[in-house]
Amino acid sequence: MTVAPIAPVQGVLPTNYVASTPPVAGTDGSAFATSLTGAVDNLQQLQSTSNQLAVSAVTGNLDDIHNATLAATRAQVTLELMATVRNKGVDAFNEIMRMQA
Amino acid sequence: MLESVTSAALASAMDGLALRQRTIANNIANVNTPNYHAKRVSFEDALAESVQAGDGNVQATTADSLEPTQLNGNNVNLDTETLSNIDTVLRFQFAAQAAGNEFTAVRSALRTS
Amino acid sequence: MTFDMIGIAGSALTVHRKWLDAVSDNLANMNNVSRTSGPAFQARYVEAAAGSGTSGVYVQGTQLGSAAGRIVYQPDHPLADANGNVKYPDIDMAEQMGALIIAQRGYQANAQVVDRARETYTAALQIGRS
Repeated sequence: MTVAPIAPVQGVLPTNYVASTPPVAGTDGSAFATSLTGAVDNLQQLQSTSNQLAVSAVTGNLDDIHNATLAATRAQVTLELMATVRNKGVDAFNEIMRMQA
Repeated sequence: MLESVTSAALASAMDGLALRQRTIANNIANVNTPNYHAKRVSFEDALAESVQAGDGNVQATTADSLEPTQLNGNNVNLDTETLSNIDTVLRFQFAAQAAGNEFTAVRSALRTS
Repeated sequence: MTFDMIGIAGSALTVHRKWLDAVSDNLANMNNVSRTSGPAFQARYVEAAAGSGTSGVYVQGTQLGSAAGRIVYQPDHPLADANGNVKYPDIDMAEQMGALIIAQRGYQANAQVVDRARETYTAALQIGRS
């Protein structure tokens, strides 16, 4: 009994369902920097408002004491938030620097 | 998140409640003053409308009470003022707690991250 | 004014205390006898007025009652005149007791305002304390 020879393997044709990816544009980071400076300005404004209200309260010129405590808490929480964002940013930076070494 | 409508509404409510508390104190102080008319503070309706509109900042308004006067021209009703005083204190405590909770939530989020 | 509710209630406590002092003074001197030729003991009345805005209440002035008094026939009294008359102050005990109760009620109401003011300010100071 004769066995038919196996046909030779043809070259593999490329599958076209994966589109070629465009080259990645490097992010210049300016959007993040703008929002960060805006947040720092906001924090400074909150802290100056809080200081102003605290001085009014102790000199006897503030009618509603809750305005002073609200402003103080708002400034404090915003500062904690900014400190955490800064720490995470520094950690991420160090992580990346470690990878490149 | 710290500048939302809720935050502004709670701050406006506390301003209005503090003004109401001060007005009640003045009414009770003048409970026996001849020809003194009690004053009332209102802001709740305006605040509800403002929150619906998406804002949350309102000013409280003061008006004279329309209760009938006694012989000496005084129309302060001590029972009404006392009950209103207690009610206002409780509402203020609630508003202060609610405002404080916003900050506590942010602090908890910062701690667990 | 910071914490001004306490000041407002405090002004009312002062006014009501002065009123209570005047009434108890009137009651203590109700039975002072004097000669018909001189003035009788004059009852003291406190005039209260509301402060401007929300600044509480203050004493505007004091008024004295009439010095004419009541003429009473008491020939045995050492101060009696030729007709046997002496002069008593023109103070009505029921009226003074009524004033005493009103002043006391006002004083207590304002003392309670101080307590409630402290509760409110404490709640305001607790904001943000976790």
